[in-house]
Amino acid sequence: MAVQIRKFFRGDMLVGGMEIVTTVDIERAVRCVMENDSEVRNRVKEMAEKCHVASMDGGSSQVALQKFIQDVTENVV
Amino acid sequence: MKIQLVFIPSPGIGHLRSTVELAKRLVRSDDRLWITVIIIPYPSISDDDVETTYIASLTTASQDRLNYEAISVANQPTDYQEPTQVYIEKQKPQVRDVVARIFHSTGVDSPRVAGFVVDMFCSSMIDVVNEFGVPCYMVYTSNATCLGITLHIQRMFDEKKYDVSELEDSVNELEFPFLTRPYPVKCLPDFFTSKDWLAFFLAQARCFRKMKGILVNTVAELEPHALKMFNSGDVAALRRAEDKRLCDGGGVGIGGSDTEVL
Repeated sequence: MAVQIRKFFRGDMLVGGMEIVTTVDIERAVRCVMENDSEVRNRVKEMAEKCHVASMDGGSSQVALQKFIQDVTENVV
Repeated sequence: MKIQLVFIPSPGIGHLRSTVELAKRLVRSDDRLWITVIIIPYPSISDDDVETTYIASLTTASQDRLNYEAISVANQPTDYQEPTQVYIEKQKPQVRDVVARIFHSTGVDSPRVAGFVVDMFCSSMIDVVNEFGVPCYMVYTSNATCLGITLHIQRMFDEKKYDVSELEDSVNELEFPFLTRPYPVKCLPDFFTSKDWLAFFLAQARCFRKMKGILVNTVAELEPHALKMFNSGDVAALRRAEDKRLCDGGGVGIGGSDTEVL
C-alpha cells in the first residue's frame, strides 16, 4: 500500500544534515498513486472498505473500543 | 454511573486531531462516558496557524460530556530541535494543576475519574497520573507493527544487550517477529540507528510498558500479522499480550547469512 519515493535516506534531525527529497521524487510517487487502476490505488480502496466495515457496529474496531470501555468501567466499580 | 476519562494528546495537528476524534467516538458510543481533553499547545506561531485555529474551535465547542482545557504555555523561545517529548515534559506543572482541578471538582453527581489516556509522546505524564492513583492508558498514533518493532528493539537491548545502532556492516537485514519479511537495515529510521535518538526511544518504549493498556491506531484487518503477534485483538490487554509474547520468543540468531533474527 506504499509507493517508494527513495529506498532510504540518511540524516539526523538532531545534528542536522538531512538529505533532501526533491519535488521530482515526490511528483513521480504522487503520479503513481493517481493513475487509475494502479495496483496501489486498488489496494487502498480495498483496505478503505475493510476499515469502514471494522468501524461499524460489530466490526473489529468497534468491538475493540467496547473492550476498552469495559476495562475503564471496571476501574471505578 | 458517570465515568470520566482525561485525555492528554500531544501537540501537533496530526496527533491532536486523531486523539480528539477518538474521544468523540468514545463519547458517542457510550453515554456514561465523560471526557476532558487537556490540550498542550505549541507556542503559537501566529493567531491563524492551523493548530491555533483548531484549538480555538475545540475550546469553543466544549460541552458537558466532552470538554477541552487548553493549558497556557510559557512563551519562551523554544529550541527548534527540542524533541516534542522534552517540550511536553516541561509542561507537567500546568497539566498537574488542571488534573488537580478535575479531581477537586468531584461532587455527589460528578463523574468518577476512571483513567487517563495519554499520547505516545506524553508517556512521561504517567508520573502525574500516578500521583492521583488512577490507571493510565496510551494512544499510539502510529500502527501496531511499528509499536511491535519499537518494543522488540527495546526488549532486545535491555535483555540481550543487542544494540541496533551498532550493527556490523555485514548485517544487511533484520528479522522481526512483527514482520513477515526480513527488514533491510538501510531502511531503519534514524531514531533507531542514531545513538542519541535510540536512547530516547528506548526510554520511551520502557515507559509504554508501564501503561495499563495501549490504544493503537490500526484495525485488525490492516495488520493481521502484527496483531496476531500481540496475541490478541483486545486493545486493553495489548501490553500484557506483548509482554508474554516477548518473554516466549526472541533470541538472537547469527548464522552464516546476512540476516539476523531479532
